[in-house]
Amino acid sequence: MDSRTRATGDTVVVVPMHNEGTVGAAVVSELLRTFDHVVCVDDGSGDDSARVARDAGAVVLRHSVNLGQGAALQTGFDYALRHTTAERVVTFDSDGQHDVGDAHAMVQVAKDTGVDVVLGSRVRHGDHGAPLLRRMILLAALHYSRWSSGLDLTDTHNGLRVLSRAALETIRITQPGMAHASELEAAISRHRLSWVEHPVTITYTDYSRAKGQSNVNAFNVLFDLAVAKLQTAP
Amino acid sequence: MIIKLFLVGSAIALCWWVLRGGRRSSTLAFTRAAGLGLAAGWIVAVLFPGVVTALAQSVGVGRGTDLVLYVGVVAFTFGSVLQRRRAHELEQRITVLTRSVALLEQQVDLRHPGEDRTAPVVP
Repeated sequence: MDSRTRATGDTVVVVPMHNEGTVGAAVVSELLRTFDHVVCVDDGSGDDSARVARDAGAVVLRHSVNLGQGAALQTGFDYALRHTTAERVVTFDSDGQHDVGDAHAMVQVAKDTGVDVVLGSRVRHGDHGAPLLRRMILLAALHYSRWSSGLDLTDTHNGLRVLSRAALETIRITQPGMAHASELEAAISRHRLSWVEHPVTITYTDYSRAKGQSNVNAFNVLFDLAVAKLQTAP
Repeated sequence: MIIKLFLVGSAIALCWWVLRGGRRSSTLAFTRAAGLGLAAGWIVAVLFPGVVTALAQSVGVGRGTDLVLYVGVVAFTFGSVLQRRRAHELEQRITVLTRSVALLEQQVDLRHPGEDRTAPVVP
């Protein structure tokens, strides 16, 4: 961990959080060991997530009402564009399922190759920790994403990504809820942004399972996407 | 007699409500026209029940009550869709508003450190 070179100040890490008071601090301090600039977007939490994140050293943006993860990410993107000179943004889930080392490696890939978007992919690494039903739903989501975006993805709805400033200027997330992941993929394809996938590990703990998306919500995501597709169709 | 008074009265109330509500001009005009049409049809149907049956038979519906049911279902569906669209628009406005408040708050915190605004939101 400490042998790693510190990422310079040209990267902002955006962490959307909702009622993450228990693990939020650990996630933030772990990120701050590698990244200088961590921005937590507290999405109308009912607990002390915002205070915990601020005490841990993050910049905290607070939605006074709960809007959804997509909206929280876009708020973080707006912050990065308006109030920082960051070259790129890392999106990182607040429930502790991502590995900071993966994020650092992905930033390195973005720097070395100059691609607009680096997407974390758990499948490439062998997704051993996920429960069976979750794997099946992810597989269905993956097929949908590949079909609708036309991108040759190996994973979808993975919260770990690196987006360049140029990408942020073209992508605008309008799906407030979880459908934003597919919306993002569609935007990559529509704006012809360059992208690569990078293998990441996901730690499925009891906490992240409890916090994570319920499988039933997959239906809601699909419904949101279908409606959005119909509305944007010419 | 009382039921006729009630039905005509509620039609007038509906009319008044439609005329007062709404925001965007094109949707608003449509809503108003539909509302007025519905109210007019409503009054006619109450005062002259035979007309509805005649109208129903002329458009190929057997009974007047069936026609009323059909019109009612269509009107309800249009109304629901309209409400859904309005709710969605409102949601987007709230998103934009909440986002700018979040960004502003952070800027204020930068300039006036020490004030704690991180207390949990009480719904």
